Amino acid sequence: MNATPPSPPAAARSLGLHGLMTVLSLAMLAPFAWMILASLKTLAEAGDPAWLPRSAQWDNYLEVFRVIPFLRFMANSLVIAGWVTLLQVFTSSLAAFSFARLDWPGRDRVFFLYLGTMMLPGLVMVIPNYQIMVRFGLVDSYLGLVLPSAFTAFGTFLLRQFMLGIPRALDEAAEIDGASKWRVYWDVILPLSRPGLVTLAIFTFMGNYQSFFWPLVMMKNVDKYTLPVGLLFFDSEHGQATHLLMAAVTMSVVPLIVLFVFLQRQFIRGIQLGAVKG
Amino acid sequence: MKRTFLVCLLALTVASTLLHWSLPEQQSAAPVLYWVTQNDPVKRETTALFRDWLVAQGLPPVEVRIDNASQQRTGTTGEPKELIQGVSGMGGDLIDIYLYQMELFQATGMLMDVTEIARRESFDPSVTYQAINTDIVLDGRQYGFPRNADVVMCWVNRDTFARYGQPEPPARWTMDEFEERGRRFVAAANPPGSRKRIFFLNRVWPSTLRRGLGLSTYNETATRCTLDDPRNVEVMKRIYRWTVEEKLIPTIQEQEALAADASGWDSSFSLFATGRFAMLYEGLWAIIRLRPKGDFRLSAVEPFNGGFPNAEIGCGVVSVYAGSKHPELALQFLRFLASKPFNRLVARSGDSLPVLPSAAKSDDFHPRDHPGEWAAKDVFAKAGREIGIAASKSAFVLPSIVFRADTEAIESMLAGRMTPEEAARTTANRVNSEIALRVRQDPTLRRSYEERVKIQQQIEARRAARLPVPASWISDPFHLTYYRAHGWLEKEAAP
Amino acid sequence: MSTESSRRRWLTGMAFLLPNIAGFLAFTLVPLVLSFGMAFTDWDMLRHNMFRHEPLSFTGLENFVRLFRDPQFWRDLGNTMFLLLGLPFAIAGSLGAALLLTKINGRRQAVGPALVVATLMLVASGLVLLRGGMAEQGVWCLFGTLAASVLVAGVLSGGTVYRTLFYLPNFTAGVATYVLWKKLYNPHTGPINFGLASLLDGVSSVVRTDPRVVGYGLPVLCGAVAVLLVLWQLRRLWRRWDDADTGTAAIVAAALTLAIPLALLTSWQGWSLPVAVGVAALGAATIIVSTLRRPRPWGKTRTLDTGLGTELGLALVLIPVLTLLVGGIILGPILPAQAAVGIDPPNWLGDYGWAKPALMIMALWAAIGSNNMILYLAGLSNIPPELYEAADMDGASPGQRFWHITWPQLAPVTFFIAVMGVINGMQGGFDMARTMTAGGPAGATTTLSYLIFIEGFETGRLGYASAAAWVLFVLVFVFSLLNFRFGNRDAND
Repeated sequence: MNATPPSPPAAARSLGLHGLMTVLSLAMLAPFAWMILASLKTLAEAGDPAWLPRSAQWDNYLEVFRVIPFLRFMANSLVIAGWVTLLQVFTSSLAAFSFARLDWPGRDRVFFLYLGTMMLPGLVMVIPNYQIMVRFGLVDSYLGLVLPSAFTAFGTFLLRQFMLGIPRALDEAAEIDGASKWRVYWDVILPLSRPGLVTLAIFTFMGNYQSFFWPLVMMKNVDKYTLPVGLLFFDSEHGQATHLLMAAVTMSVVPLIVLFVFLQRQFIRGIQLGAVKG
Repeated sequence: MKRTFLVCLLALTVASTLLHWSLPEQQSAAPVLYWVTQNDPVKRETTALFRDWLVAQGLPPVEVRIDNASQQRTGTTGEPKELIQGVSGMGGDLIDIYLYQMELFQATGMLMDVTEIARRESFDPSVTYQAINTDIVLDGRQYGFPRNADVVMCWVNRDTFARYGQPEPPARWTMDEFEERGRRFVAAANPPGSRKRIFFLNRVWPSTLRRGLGLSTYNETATRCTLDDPRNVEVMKRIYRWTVEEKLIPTIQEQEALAADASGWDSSFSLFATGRFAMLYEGLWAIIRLRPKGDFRLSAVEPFNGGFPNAEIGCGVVSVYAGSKHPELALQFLRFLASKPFNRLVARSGDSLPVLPSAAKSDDFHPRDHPGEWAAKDVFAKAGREIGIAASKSAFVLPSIVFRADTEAIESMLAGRMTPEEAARTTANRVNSEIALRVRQDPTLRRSYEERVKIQQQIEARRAARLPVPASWISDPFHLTYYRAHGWLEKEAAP
Repeated sequence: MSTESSRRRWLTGMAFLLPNIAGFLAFTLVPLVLSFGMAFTDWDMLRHNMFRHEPLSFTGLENFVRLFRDPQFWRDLGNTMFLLLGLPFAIAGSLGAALLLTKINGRRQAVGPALVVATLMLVASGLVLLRGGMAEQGVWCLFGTLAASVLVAGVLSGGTVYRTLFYLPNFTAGVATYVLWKKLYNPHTGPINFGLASLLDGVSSVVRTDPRVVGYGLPVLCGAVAVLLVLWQLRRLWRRWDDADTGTAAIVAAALTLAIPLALLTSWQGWSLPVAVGVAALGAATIIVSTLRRPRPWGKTRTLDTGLGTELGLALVLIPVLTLLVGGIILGPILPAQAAVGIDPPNWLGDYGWAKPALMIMALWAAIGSNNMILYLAGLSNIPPELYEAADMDGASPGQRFWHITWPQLAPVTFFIAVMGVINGMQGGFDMARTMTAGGPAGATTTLSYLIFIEGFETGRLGYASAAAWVLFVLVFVFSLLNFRFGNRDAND
């Protein structure tokens, strides 16, 4: 975008830009720095205003594994979020294709109905949904966590917006070549919506890895707890083991950061490829 | 892209299979009880002890699994997990109940009525502190058994008082003394120009202050909220003076905000230990958090009163789920709660008062390695026997609604948005219209409400004629104690 | 495409929809319809469950009537709307962050070395700090090294590091964030007030050196800026009116925008509410009448709602800014007296006036680098570079490039973000308020969704909670329709 060759004022501007980004990054980073430092404190220090622990308690991290089956909880969370993401991306892209590319009677009305369901607060649906789970025998099962989250209007809406931006000429050309609707979806639209798909995948994965209320209500067996529910182990009648909680939260963030760093490269490259093709 | 998709699908399938396959064996040789509670060391020790206790009794072993539910110890909000599972037939066999949840859960019918079996197996209310009867007995029926009891008192950091050359508070004191000593303390501790404010006390508990003046939240039969009363206005004015004008205590809003979740306590304990709060208004369980804070000298005194000494006593109750698949085993657990081994565990852990008053006299209650806290613990045990009164509750309005109305009114007053008179009136009006609504909607409640209103009229007629009143007429725990103390009751048969 | 029969097209469309709609029907639509029906009954969890089967009775509109009579409902609606005012700032923040990130993006992409260097620097400084056992100064050392590491890593990695750091708040979204911020806001032990206290001491000493300058200067300065802003808006309005770019509805909206801060100014000055509202209404009426009396433009037509979307969007920025200025006017005369005794930092979550702004600041922090930023990043990289090249040849300024290329090209994304923002904003605030303030102080942070939670899970009145939820639904629906009506039009330009 910036095609000018580097000159002294440009270099100064670039440095200023980096300075600004650093300051902003620090503002985002500060609470996490606090979190990591708090994870190195002793329980007695937890409520103190000082940021730095008197001496770092690396043992807190090992203690987390002694108090809760951390890896088990994390595996549960990762697998559940993974399935939800996969199902969500697949079914939403199909539906979005139908709303963005196919012309059928009543389409826009159905779409608005879809959208409308997001406007009702989910809280009032918790009880009926739970009753449905009881009816299907899905309480205390992984499936009961995956299914209700796997089909949402949000994903459909997001991908529809993305697909609307893809030039129609491309799929019309494919159709003239005699491709079926499924071919158009699978061979033309899907590859071109890659940034949209990756974006939706990030959002869905993040959201479900962290979801708390539904897993809390659904699960009875400790070995099937997800990570956010498992973190409740550090809250007790006698207050909170803040130092251990912070250590556990710090560790729970690691897979997300790895995933994000990996996916964002995918996602930038995807756009560039898409732009070249489009 | 498509390959990524297929790889993900494959990886997830493998991972799910592994997860499922690696689930620890669920088929336990012994029957399993789920206990909806919090997963802390004391609870884990409790489940282990229960197994041993059953074996010692010659009973077949039972495995108790903890289902971690509650994020909020305060229990100011009905915990949705317990409620949602409970009303859908999926509740845990044993359910922990806090402060305000009993009425809510009992009303749904999800708690088992254990009155008869408790009397037979001797875990009925008579074995524990008399003051907490109303926490486990609703409308004459027993719905659980407490696992511990606690009195809210004033913890004193003696070092803080010594630092500013102030005398420590007496064991029993009045509101006026509190104000007087507090004024002198904050003047000494906060020289002009100092930035870190040092407070006399971390918070107050309005109902204890009201009771000191002879006022309860409800009338004798708990059919009407009585907070629109000059005595409540007096309490409101004092709270305003202490927080806004004299700054003896931090604002109540701030305290509520601090205590709204478990993490809020951390800072209260830190501030008390480091001398920013000279006193801490908290239960005995606080020593679990104060022990690791290091060396400072502790004592405890009664909450200051307006003439009638009192302290609020409460308990953590365990109830049996009415939909439990193993009710007889769950009842064994309640029996265990009334047993000596369990009560010694509570006495040792410092997790509040053991429910058997005798256990507070055992050696376990005076742990060898913490001699500095013996005196304070004895003050709590004595208060539990002598001045503890359970929270006032009404069958016609959920306690959480009352708590919310009261808190909002006090906060509005402190924010300068209501006068003390308006605050008192607003709370009473909100609670009374809630009672009216609930009674109108629920025909079962309506019948018992009408009966109680008749009794209330009889009580008032008798009081006006200065005649004694039968104790069985009075359902509010404060009024019962207050009437007894003033000799307004008919002669009670010896227990 | 049009050769297929309508029935066949419908079948194809449905076939693609089927996987999604099957799950959707089971897990969304069924509970949805159920809750709609229940809104007209006295459904109460306490009396209607597997242990107590009392007959459910149809109560017609009673729940709704009771809701509209409940002062709590109106208060919570007001709170929800107030918190929604943070949305335009959040969107602007995300867009700004995305723009900055794209500026840096693509020079160099040495992510690996960047991470290695930054990690080494951090580990080294961490070891020094933790070994050295420094007290208060340690924190500043820590931030110094952090800043240096971020800068080095940022320059080396070309944006990747910044992008990840900006997105950091999302990694611990939800309850963990709230608990964390609660600790940050703690008036006694939190780091925010720790820093603010020394800052305010500095301010106090400056004010004390010459109280009169601040006491008079601040109100005059704020007043002048406010007047200039109002004049600018009026001139803009009149010009747009003369050009037929603005219809009557938009004028009314704009006048109300200016009247709200005026009402605040007068009511904060201690005037009674009716008087304050009266003055504001008078001001609004003056603006409307003086505009409508202007001569009709030649040969141009406008409809009632021309330009309404623009004015509503502008209102979202104007109202908070003017309110801040009004705050400055009020604060000026009070400041010297405050400074004399030392200004205390706010008691964030515990103060009636500060609790909502405190939540909004936290939400803004979380929102800048949020999913919205990712969407904007994706949107920005999809803008064809030829457009900018053409603009550069015409000698366009950076501002022109933004307003004529970037902003219109991003319109679909902005539209999506705005719709989702309104939906989430109107339904939100529940977890936040429950964890951080329990809805207090004095109900200042109780939102509509929290009301629904209280009614549903604290009092068990699910019928009433459903009624409240459906009222909220209608509100969100109307907002979204407005958004579609006025937002989509720009999007399709």
